[in-house]
Amino acid sequence: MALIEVQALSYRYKDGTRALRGLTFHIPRGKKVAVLGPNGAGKSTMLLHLNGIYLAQEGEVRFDGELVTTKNERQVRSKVGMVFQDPDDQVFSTTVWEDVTFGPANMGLPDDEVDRRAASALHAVGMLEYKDKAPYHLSYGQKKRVAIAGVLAMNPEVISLDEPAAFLDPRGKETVFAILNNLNRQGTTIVIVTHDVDLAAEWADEIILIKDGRCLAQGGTELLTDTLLVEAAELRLPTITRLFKELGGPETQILPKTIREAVQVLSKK
Amino acid sequence: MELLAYDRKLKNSVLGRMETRLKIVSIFTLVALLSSLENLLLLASAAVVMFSVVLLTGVSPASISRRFLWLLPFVGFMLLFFPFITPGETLFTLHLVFLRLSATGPGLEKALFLGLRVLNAMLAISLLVLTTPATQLFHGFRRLRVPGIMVNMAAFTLRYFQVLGEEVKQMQFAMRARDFRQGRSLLHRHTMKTLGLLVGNLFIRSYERGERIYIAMLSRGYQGEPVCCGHCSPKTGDWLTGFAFVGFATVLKFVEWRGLGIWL
Repeated sequence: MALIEVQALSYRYKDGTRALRGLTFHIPRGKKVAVLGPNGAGKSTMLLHLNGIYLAQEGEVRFDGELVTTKNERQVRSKVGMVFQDPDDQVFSTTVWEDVTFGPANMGLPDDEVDRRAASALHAVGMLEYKDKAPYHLSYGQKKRVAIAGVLAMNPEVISLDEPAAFLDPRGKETVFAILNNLNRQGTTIVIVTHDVDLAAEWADEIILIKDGRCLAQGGTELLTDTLLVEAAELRLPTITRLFKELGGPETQILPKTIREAVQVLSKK
Repeated sequence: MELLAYDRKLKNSVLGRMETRLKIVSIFTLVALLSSLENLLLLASAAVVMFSVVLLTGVSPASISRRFLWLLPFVGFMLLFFPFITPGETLFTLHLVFLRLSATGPGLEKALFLGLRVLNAMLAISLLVLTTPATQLFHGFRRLRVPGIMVNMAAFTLRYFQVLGEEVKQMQFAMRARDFRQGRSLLHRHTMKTLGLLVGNLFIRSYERGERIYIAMLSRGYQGEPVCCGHCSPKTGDWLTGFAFVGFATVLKFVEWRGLGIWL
């Protein structure tokens, strides 16, 4: 059974804008999932349904088989941690340590457990020595890592991230994804929302394509080599795929999507 | 601008170790009592004592002078203004083109004692703010039943002042990149309109940011109340310090009351 199941989810904002129209997909347990789609597709709105911040107006969201309602939204939030796009929206306390202890403290855990989790989370993101620093003295990448630590400290089963690579320099991106991969190896399900097709092709196990509040397709990364699908989603093919398309070749050949696959194909020739 | 005035070096001072709620209550009482004094000599002695306490606590003269500089515009303005608007016997007159301004004795006295009251209050509040980390301070207020919304507003203003400052700067750069020139007269319509849009935009952005922050807090289990740390028990030493502050101000009030006949 999938960890999170979304069935025919619809959501309309107060001003009447329809953000989601009958969205249906699932998040498989323990996988790395990338949700892609153009701007305005409803990806961020969808994420807010996964941790119970928005409750389904129409349709349903199930976490581990249970329907997400006002009765269990708090438990769902402690199991589905969300890292927001702008770390300044998330890291609001006056010191790093205080911010990371916010989550576990809200869960009502005893002091020593809160401290233990905060230390462990900061260590996992490599920010332990900054624990007494004020967030406004940190760089963007550092703030991002503190935001992740703040969510990690709640020991969630799923971590969802809204555009985790946005505004990060290459080193920063590497660091964040190394942290995510480590977490995934330990059993945490990771869901990222992005429109970086190359990133998704390289990193994800499962791809979900969303457009206009609807799910276009869900499957493995080979979805990203389907030209029609990618165009329908208003995205573009991964760079490597485009390169091989330009180079031409038999129609039946499987186009590589990542550098590694390309190397394999080329070394066979 | 360092808004979080807490000085870590003062962590082990008497005040640094004092329990927060007791500190808040005794310092606020001190300020209330000192601000009700009317006798110049007593106010001046209070200021001297407060200043010595500040220095004895370990506050650097540099940091206290910086805080004093913030006061200067207000106090300076008062000192300049009051002598000329309070009725009484004229001390001296100023001739400025068409104006004849007369400074009065009672006016100067009023300016001085208001100035001294402000100085005393500033020194007392500085002691509070310099010896208590911001979080503890807000916790203390909350435990003293100050409405959560007020405490939260103060805490968030502190945290986001810098962020909003950055946003204003970015907007200004963007305007300059399109050749907007600030600093023109306030009567220039285009300038006023643009500045108005900047303020309006900042307001909307702050509102939307507030919404996003709230959602982020909810996502981490926030339920409206900050969870208390659980270690807020005053020691005997703390009570003594608290009583010392309040006692000192009470004695001064007593002297003023009893000694009123002599000082009149």
